[in-house]
Amino acid sequence: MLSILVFALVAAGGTVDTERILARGVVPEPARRVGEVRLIERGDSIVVQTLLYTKVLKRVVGEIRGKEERNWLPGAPGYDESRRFVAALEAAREAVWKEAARLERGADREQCLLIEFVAGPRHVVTLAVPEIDRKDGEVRITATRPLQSLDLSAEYIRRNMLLILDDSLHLGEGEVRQLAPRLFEGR
Amino acid sequence: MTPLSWLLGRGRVPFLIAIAALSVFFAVQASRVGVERNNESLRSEDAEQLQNQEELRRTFGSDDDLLLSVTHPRLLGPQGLRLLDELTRAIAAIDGVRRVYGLTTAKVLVPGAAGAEEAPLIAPPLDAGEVEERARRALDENPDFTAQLVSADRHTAGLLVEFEDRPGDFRYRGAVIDRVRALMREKGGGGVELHLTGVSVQTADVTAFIQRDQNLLIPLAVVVLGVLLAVFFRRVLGVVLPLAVNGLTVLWTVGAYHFAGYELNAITSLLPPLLLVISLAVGVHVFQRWLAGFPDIADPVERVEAALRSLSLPAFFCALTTMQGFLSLAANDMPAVQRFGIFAALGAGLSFFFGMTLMPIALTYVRRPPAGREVAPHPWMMAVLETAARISTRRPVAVLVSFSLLTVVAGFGLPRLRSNTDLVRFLKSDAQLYRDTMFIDRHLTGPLAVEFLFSRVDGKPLASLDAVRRLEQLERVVRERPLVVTTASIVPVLRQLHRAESGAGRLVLPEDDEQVAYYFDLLEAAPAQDFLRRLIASDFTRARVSVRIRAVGSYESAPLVAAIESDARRILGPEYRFVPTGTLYHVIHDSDRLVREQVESFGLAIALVVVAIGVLFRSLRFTVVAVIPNVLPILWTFGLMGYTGIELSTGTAMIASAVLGLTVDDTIHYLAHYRRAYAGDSAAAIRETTRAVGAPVTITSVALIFGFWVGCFGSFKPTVYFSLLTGLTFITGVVCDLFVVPATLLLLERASGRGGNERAAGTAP
Repeated sequence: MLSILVFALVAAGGTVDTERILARGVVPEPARRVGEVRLIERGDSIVVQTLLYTKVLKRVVGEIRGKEERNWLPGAPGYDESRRFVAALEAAREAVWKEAARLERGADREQCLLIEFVAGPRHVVTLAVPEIDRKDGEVRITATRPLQSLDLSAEYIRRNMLLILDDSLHLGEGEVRQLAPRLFEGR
Repeated sequence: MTPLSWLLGRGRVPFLIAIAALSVFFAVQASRVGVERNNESLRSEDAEQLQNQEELRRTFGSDDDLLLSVTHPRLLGPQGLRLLDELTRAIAAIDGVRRVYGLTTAKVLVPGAAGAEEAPLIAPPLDAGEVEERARRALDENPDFTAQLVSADRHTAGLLVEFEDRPGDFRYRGAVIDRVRALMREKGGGGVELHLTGVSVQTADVTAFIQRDQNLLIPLAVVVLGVLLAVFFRRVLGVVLPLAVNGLTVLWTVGAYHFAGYELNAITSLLPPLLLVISLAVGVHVFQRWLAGFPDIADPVERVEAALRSLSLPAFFCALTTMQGFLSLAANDMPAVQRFGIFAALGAGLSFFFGMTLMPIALTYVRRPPAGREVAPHPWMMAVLETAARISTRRPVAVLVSFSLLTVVAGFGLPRLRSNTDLVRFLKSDAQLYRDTMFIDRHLTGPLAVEFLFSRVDGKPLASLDAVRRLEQLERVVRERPLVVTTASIVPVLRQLHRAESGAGRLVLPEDDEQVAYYFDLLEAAPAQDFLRRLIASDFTRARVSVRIRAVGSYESAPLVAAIESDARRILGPEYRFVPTGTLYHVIHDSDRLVREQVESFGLAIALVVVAIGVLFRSLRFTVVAVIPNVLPILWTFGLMGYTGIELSTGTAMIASAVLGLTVDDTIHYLAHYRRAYAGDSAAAIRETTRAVGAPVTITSVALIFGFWVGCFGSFKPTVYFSLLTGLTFITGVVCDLFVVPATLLLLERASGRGGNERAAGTAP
C-alpha cells in the first residue's frame, strides 16, 4: 500500500533547523495521501521519518504490521525487535484513536502519528504525536508529544530504514548510499 | 388595382420568383434537418426536476447504463464464466465504454491482514473444474449480487456497461450499442441468449425508427393523397397543384424548423406527414371552387378572383382555427410538444398562404375546362350527400337523439380512460428492444430504474449509524413492494465492510456510531473510488438509491414512486430528504404532466376556436352549432379509447388539440355557404349547402383520413394510435357536419319560429 511518489532532493529549502531533508515523498500516492516518508540528516544521525496524518490510521498501522510480519520472519534475526516495534506501534495508535474518538461527529477525524527510525550514535525508534500545519501544500511539524522510545539493534533499525525507503520512496541501497553515506558507516 | 388583381396580373412573375428563391433556401435547410440523439426535448423544463437530474448526473454520473443479459445453460461453470469474461473484456475495450460490471469483475470485501480488503467475487481460476461450486457459494454468501448481476436461478448474468462521460456528444453511444449488438450476434446461439436494454438503447432505436418512418411515411402520404386527388378531380392539375401546395408547405416548415436549430424527435417526426395532410384542404377548396363555381365568368383571371373572394374569409378562419388548435400545444411544458404545436401552426398558416396565392396564380395560366358532367362530383358522392341532407331535414329530432345517445354511451367510456406512458410498449412487440427488455424483466432483474437522492436536510454527512440504519430499513420496505425487484445503495457495501473488518460472518450493519464513522473513513481512503462515486458523494452528504422495477408504464410506476416517497417520509423522518429523479422518473413525471396539460390546452383550443367562429359569424347560435358537433367526435374517440383500452400517452394525448382545429374547418365552410344560401327556408338552404359544399368537405375529409392513416405504418404504437384515431375522428366529424349541423340548424329555426325576413334584417341564423 505504501507506494510513493519521490520528490527531488531538497538542500537549503528542505532544511528545518538542524535537520536536512535528503528525500521525501507522499504515501501511498498523492490522490490517497495518508502521510509522508522523509529521509533526514539530523546532526550526526540519519532518520527515516514516517509522518502519518489520516483518518484510517488503524488500517495504515495494520499494513505496517503486515509488512513487518513479511520482512521479519519468526526465528530470524530481528524478529523480536519487530514484535516490540509492532506492539509499541499498536499501543501508540490506540492512544491516538482514543483522543480522536472524543471528538464530535463531523469534526476533523484525522489522526497523526510520527514514527522515526534513528541511526546514529544511538539506534532508536521513537513514536510521537505530532502537531502539524499545512501551508502552500507543505506539511510541517510544529511540535511533537513523545509517546514511546525503543532502543533496538542497529541491524534491525538500519535494515528497516532501507526497506522503508525502498518501499515508500523507491530508493535502492545504492541511491541511499549516495544520499546518506553516514547510514552505512561502521558496517 | 386591388392587391389581388396585381397578384393575379403583373405581380405573378415577381411573386413566383420570390417564392422560388425562398423555397431554395428552405429546401437547403430542410435537407439538413437531423434526428435528436438524446431525449432532451422530450423532457419538461420543470426547474426542480432539472435541478435534481443535474445533481444526480454531476454527483453520481449518468443513469443510462446499458444492461446486457447473458443466459447460458451452465452459467457458473467454466464455459459460462469464460463467455462472461470474454464479453466483459470485449465490451470494456470498446471506445466510449468506461467500465463493465459483471460477475467476473465484481469484487467483495474480505478480511485481510490489515482489515477489509478487496477480492474477486469469484476467485480465479475461472476454468477450474470446481469453479461452479465456488461461484455458487460466493453468490450465496453475498446475496446482494442477485437480481443485479445474476438471476436467482443462476442461469442468467447481467453485465452493466457504463459509458464514458462525453458531454454534448451522443453519437458515440450509438456506436457502442452497435458494437455490443455485433458481439451479441457473434456470441449468441448454441443455448446462449444475449439481450440488451437501457435508456440509450431506446434512444438509439427510436432515432433509427424515426428515420425509417420519415423515409416511408412521407412518400406513402404523397402517393395516397395523389391517388385520392386523382380519383376526386380526375385531372392532372387537380393532383399537381394541391400537392405542390403541400410540398412547399412541408419544405418551408421543416426548413424553418431546422433554421430555428431543432432536430426531429419521436413527436416532431409526425410533422412532415401531418403537414402533407393538413395543407391539402385549402388547395382542394380553391381548385374545386375554380373548377365548379362561377360558370358564367369567361375571363380566367376574373374566375380565379371570384373563387378567391368567395373562399377567402372562410378559408382564412379555417386556417386560423387550425393554427389555434395547434398553437394551444405551445402551452405545454415539454419542448417537443411546444415545437410540434408551433410548427404545425406555422405549416397551417403557410398552406393557407400558398393555397390562396400560388394556386390561384397557377390557375390564371390555365383555361377553364368546360362545365358539365366532367366537373361534377361523382354520382355516388352526390347520392350520399342527398341522402344525408334528406335525413337531416326530414328527421332532425331522430338525428339529434341518436347522436346524443351515442355521446352518452361514449361518456361511459371516458372514466375508463387512463394515462400511461410506457417507453417499452411504445414499440411494437416484434421490435428487438421490446423483446430484449421483456426477457430481462422475466429472467434477470427489473429493466427500469428509478433513482433517489438521499441526504440530510441540514446538509451534513450521512456518516452516522442513524442514517444508514434508516436507509437499510427503507430499502427493506421498498423491496417488499410488488413492482420492485431490488435496490442498490451504499448499505450493502457497509455491511460487507463490517463483515470483513469485524470477522462477524454475517452481513449486518455495525452497532455503533464510531464504527460507522470509521467505515466511512475507510471508504474515503479506499482505492475503488470510481465504483463508490456511483453510490455516494465524495463528501458523504448525498447518497444514491437505485430502485429497479418491472417493465411497466407511468400508470403503475407513478403511484409506486409516490408510495416510496411516503415510505421514506415515514421511515426517514423530517431530518432527511429522499427525492426521486433519474431518466425514468422524468418520463413518468412528464407524461402525467403532459396529459394534464393536454386537457388544459384542449380547453384553450376550444376557447380560441369559439372566439374565432364568433368573430366570423357574429352569431351565438352559429358559434354553438359550429363548436358542439366538433367536440362530439373527439368525445366519442376518447370514449372508444376508454372501452378498447387504448391509453392516453405522449402521442394520443395530442389528438384533441390537433383534431379540433381541423374538423371545425368543414363546419365553417358549411355554415358560411348556408348563410349565403339561406332565403327564409332552412331545409332548402341545407339541401343546397350539402350539395355545394358537401363534395369538397368530403374530399378534404377523406384525404385527411387516409392521409393520417398512413401513419398506421409507423414504428411507434402512439404514432399508430394517433394516426388511426385522428382519422376515425375525421370520419365522425364529417358525419356530424352532414347530419348534426343541418339537423341543429333546422331545429333552431323551428324553435325560433323564424321565417323569411331574417336574412333581410341581417339576423339569419
